[in-house]
Amino acid sequence: MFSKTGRMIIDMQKKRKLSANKKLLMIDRKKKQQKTEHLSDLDDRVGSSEKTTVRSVDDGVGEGVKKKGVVVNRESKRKLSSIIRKVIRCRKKRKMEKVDKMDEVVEPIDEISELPDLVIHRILSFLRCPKDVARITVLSKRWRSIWASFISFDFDQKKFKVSEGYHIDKFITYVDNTLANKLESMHMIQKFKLSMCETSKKLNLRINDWLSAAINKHVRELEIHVEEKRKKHYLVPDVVFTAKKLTSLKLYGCKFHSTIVFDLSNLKELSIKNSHINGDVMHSFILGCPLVEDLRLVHCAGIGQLNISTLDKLRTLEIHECHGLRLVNVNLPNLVSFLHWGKETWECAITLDGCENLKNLTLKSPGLTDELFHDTTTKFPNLEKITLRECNRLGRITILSSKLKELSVVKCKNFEDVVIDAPNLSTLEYVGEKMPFSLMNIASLHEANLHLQIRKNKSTVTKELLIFLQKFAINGGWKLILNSNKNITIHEELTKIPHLSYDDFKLQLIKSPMKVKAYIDHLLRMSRPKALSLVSSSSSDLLKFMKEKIMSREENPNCCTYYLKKCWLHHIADVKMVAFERGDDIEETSQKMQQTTFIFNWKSLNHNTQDIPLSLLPENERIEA
Amino acid sequence: MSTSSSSSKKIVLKSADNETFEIDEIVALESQAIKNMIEDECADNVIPLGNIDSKTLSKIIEYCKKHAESPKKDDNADIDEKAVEDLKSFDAEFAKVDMPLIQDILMAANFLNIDNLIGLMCRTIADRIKGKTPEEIRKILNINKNDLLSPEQEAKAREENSWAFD
Repeated sequence: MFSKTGRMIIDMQKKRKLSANKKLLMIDRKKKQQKTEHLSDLDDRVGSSEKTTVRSVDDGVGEGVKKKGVVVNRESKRKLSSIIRKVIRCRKKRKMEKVDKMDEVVEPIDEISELPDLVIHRILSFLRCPKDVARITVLSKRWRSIWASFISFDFDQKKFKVSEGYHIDKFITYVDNTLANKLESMHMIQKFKLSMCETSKKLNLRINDWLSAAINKHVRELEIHVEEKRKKHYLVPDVVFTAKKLTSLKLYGCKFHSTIVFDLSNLKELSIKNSHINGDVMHSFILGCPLVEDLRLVHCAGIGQLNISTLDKLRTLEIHECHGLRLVNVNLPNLVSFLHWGKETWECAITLDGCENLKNLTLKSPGLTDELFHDTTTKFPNLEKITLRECNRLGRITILSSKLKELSVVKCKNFEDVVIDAPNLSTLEYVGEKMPFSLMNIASLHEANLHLQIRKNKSTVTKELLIFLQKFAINGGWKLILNSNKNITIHEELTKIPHLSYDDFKLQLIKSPMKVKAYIDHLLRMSRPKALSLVSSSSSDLLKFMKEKIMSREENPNCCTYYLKKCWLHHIADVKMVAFERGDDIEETSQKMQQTTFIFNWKSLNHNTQDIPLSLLPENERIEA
Repeated sequence: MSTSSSSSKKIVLKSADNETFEIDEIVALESQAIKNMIEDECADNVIPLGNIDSKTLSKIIEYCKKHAESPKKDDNADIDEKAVEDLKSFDAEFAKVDMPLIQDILMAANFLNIDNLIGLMCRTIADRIKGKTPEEIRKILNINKNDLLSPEQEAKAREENSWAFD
C-alpha cells in the first residue's frame, strides 16, 4: 500500500503542505480499511499530528502512553507526522533520480535546512562553544530563525498534567536536563519563559536556580507565569531585579520583597499581573526602570496611589482592574497611550497633566469627573482616539480637537451635555439611552455605529436622532443599516430617514460599499436575523451581491471547506425573497427604489417564517412573492 | 543478528531504487516508525521506503543491526562496559562518511524515527562545522543560496555578535 503512495508523492513533487495533508489522508484511509475499525475523525488526526510530534519530543512525558489500536495514540500520531515529513523529501528524490538516469553530477540540494527545527536544535546543542552558535545567525534566513528559537526557552508545566494536578518532579527533571544540554553553548538567552500551575517548596527553589542561570546568560526577555488555584504567589528572587540586560519583564502571579532595590537599566517593557504590590514596591519599580517604554499593571492589588512623573521614555501605560487604586497621577510628556479600566464600585481619581503627546485615551472609570476634560485643547492637543466606557459621573464635557479621529462612548449613563467639535473625526461608536451628538460636525466621518436603548424621553431622543441622521441624508453617499429585533434593513442610498419606532436598536452608518458588504456578512454571522431587507435601486450592486451570495449557496457550498465552523450560508434551511417597489420614495428620486426582503429560516433555530412582523412588508403594493 | 533462526520474523524493506532488504523484525524495531506500523498491524510483508535509496538504507540497516544486538541500557543495570565501548567505536567508525551521505542518513533516520541515529548524525554535523567560518559552513552544509541574508542584514548580525567573528 505504500508503494503507490510513494509514486504519488514523486508525481506531486512541487505541491507542498496542502497536498501533503491529502496524501496523508489517503494513507490513513487505506490503513483504516485494513483495520476495519476505529473509524474516527480523520481531520482530527491529520490536524493534530504535526503539533503532537513537537510536543512529544519536547516534553518527554507521554512517551510510553501507548495503547495498541487506540486511535488518538500519541505514537501513531508521531508516525503520521513522519509521513508528512516524507513529502518534504521529494526534492531529494528528484536529485537521486537524475543521478541515476543521466549519470551526471547535479548540484546537491540543501536538505538540512528542510529538517524540522527540533532536529537542527539538536545539531546546535552539540556546538559547545558559544561562538559557534552565534555564527549560525549569518548562515541564512532559515538558520537565523532556527537560532532565534534555539536560544529561547519556554517551559510550561501544563504539559506535565497528571490525573490530579501536575507532575512537579518530572517538570523539574525536564527543565534541568534541557538547561544542562543547551546552556553551555549559549552566550546569551533571548527569551526565558516559565509557566507554572502548581508549585511547591522544592520547585520554587529550582525556579530560583533556573532564573539565576538565565540571568547569568544575559537573558533579554523574562516571563514568569504562576496560575495556581490556591493563589499562592511565587516570591521572585531579588536577582531578577538587578538583571541589567533585561529588556522585557513579565511577572504573573508573583510577589516581591517589600525592600527590594531595582536596577533594570535596560528594561523597556514591564508587565505585572495578578500580584500584590504595595506602594513602596511600585515606587522602587518606577525608580529602578528609568527607560521603560511600556508599563502594564493588570489585577494588581495594593498599589493605592500611582504617581509617575520620572519615566521620560514611557509611551504606553495600562492599568487594568487594580483593586484599591484610588489615585493615578501621571505627568509624562512622552506618554502616547493611556488606559485605565476600573470596576463599577471603585472610585479612582485620575489626573493626566503634562501629557501633551497623548494620542490614545481609554477609560472605564466610574469615578472619573468632568474635570479631566476641561480645556482638552491645551491639555491634550494631539489626542486621536478616545474610548469612554461606563464613566458614569461624566455629564458635561467639551471636546474640541482637530486631531481626534476615533470616538467611542459606551454606556456612560449621565452623558448630558456633550459638545464634540472634532472636524476630522472619522469613526464614532455610541451605546446609550440618549442622543448626545445631534450637533456634531460629520464632515470627515466614515463610519458611525449607534446602539440606542431608549428608556425615557422617547420623543426627545428620537427627535435628536432624526436631526443627527438628517445630516447624513443631506451629506449624501451614506448607507444606513438598521437592526432591531432580529430584523435588518439596509438603506443603500440614505436620502429619506426611515420611520423609527423602536426602543432598542442599532444603527450603522457606513460610507464605503466594501465595508457594507463586510458588515452584513458580520451581522448574519453573529445574529441569525429573521429577515434582511434591502432598500435600493433595482440596479444595485449590493442587491446583486446579496442575491448571488444567498442563491448560489447550494451549488457553491465550497466556501469554508477547511473550517470546522461553517459560515452563515451553511446554516440556512431556506430563504424566501420578496421584492416590491417603495412608493414613498418615488417623488424624491428619479430612480425608483425597491425593497427586497430575504426571509430566513435557519437550520438550528427553526424559525417559523410566519413570524415576520408585517411592519416590514408594505401596506399596499405587493408586486411579487 | 548472527544467532537469528528461521523462526524469527522477517521484515522486508524496499528502497527507492527497488532494492529489497530482508531483516529480522528485531532490527526493524529500532525504527519507531516501523515499530508503530507493525504494532498497528498495518505493515505488509514488504515495507516500501520510496524516499530512501539503497546506499542510505544499507547504512541504516548496518546501524540498526549493531544496535539491536547490543544490550540495552535499561535491560541490565550493570551493563558490560566493553559493550558500551564497542558501540561507541562502532558509532565513531559509522560516522566517517562524506557529508551528503550524512545528510541522507539524517533525513532517513528522521523519517524512520531512529532517535539514537538522529543524535549521532546531529553530533557528526556539529563536529564538522565547529570552529568554521560562516562561508565554510555554508559550503559544508550546502546552504540554499536563495535563502541568504541581505548584505545589510548580514552586516547587522555580524556587528551584533562581533565577538564571535574574531
